[in-house]
Amino acid sequence: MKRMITFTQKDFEVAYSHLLRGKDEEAAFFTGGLGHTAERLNLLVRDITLVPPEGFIEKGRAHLTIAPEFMAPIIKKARLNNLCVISAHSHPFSGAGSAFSSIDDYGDDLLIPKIQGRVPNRPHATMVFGRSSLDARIWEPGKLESLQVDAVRVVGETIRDIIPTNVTPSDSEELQEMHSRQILAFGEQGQKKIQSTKVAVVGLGGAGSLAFQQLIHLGVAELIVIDDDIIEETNRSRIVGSRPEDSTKKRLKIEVMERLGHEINPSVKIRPIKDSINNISAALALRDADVIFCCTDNFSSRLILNRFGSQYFIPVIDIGIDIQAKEEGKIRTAGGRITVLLPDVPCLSCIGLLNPQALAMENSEQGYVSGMKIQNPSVISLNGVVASLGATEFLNLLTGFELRRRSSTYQVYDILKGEIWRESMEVAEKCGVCDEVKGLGDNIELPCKKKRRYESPASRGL
Amino acid sequence: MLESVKIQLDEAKKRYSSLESQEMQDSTVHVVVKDISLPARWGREKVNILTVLPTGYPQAAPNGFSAQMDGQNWSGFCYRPASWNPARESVWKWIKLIERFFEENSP
Repeated sequence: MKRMITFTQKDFEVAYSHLLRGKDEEAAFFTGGLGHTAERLNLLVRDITLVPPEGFIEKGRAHLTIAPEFMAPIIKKARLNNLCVISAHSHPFSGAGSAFSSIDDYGDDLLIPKIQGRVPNRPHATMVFGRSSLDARIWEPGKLESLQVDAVRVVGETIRDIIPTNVTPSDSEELQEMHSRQILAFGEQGQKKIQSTKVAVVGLGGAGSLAFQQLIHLGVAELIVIDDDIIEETNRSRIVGSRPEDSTKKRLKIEVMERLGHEINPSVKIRPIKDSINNISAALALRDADVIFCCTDNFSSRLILNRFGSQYFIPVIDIGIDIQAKEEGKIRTAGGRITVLLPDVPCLSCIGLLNPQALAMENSEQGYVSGMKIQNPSVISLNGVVASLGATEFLNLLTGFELRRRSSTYQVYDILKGEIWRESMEVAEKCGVCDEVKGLGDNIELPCKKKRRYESPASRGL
Repeated sequence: MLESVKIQLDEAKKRYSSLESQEMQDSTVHVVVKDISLPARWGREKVNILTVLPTGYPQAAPNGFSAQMDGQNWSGFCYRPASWNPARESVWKWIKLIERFFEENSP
């Protein structure tokens, strides 16, 4: 199991600046939710509390003692909301190789059982920050032995994994000759990052199949694909990898993508999920992904993935294309949009791209006629533009290669004008929901229509 | 259910003491308010209403409501707010809008 602590970029910067602001040791507490699967234990930093000078009994260049009365309300809040608690302090004298001292071990042996006593069903952690390194460890519920954290993830305009001092970086990613020209662009480290990133693609229609194909060519080695639909003859013009017999045999889109993926890279691992993202079990499978592509054609799936990104700090690359014709051969409106949903950036609802009324219509059973689908125009080359822009956003998330990119923006493709530009995502007033669910992970249910009462492994005591 | 939605329901309950709500398996919340006052032209003094907070509320807007116009059966009203700002709307404001619908319309 991979053990992680995930911060938003802004919170990490605030914490780091405080902890390493001078020559004395400093401290902070982080609380948040949890994303827990069989593969991952991910502590999500929702709130940070910086310890002020009056919060210490004593502190100096190589020691500190925090006043219990300062800690008490933080732990109480965590107990009331069932949040993980992370206690952090700094070693400002330390550059590379910052690690817990024997005094830290002694202090944690006293502190952790107290936190576990107050918040028994959640894992808790401690961290030590040096100037250019850090270390972190987790205690599972009821356990007195700590476990090493494998990575501290910082999610901003790029995804940065900081490998703790006591973890030997894994160098198992082998580079392949087929990626040699890409390596010239992103370097060996960039290519290894692409190969070690697990990507989920939700919706395998016109845009989703193209995004999937590009991700495999780029070298992504592990994917989750979610779709419950079959290949029909009318969509073979735009689903890459589809064959005539796929429609006659009514093959699932996930099956066709699995075949396509293995034809490009026989060693790629693909987890196909035949389900709708409206089903909670399909949505929760996304907790194992590092990046999610939203390639569906409706608002309700965007509502779920928009919330998912805020709740679990997993970037969502939302790709949408809409072409409407007033009559055959006459396009009325045509546009595409590529939005990267990140925890520090206003969400789809904040920027008005999640239409509340359209959502209501979709949600209403009266809005659907069973078996009837509205047939809008769809063209592979136009889908290809937005899928490629989405795949390029993915590359930027991992490598930060777009050096002159404007932050907090999304891309618009005006098909009738043949133009692509960026729009700002800054807003005067946020929707409120994305801030409310920030980093709550498994603590709050996703807005799926088919839900089941679920318990995270942590709530069952791991 | 979001904590903010629970707060909205509590707030609405303070203003409409008969309000009852229930979260359903599909993540919707059914809200019933009894004895909403009606203008005389509706043929009765009071009516019970049922409105559904959709999955994803408040990012998704409510979509209509039902009322027991004959005192027994539920009749659906296709009434949607003209605009919906998830940061500013609330259950209480939505029920007020339903009241206004009855004030501004006739059977």
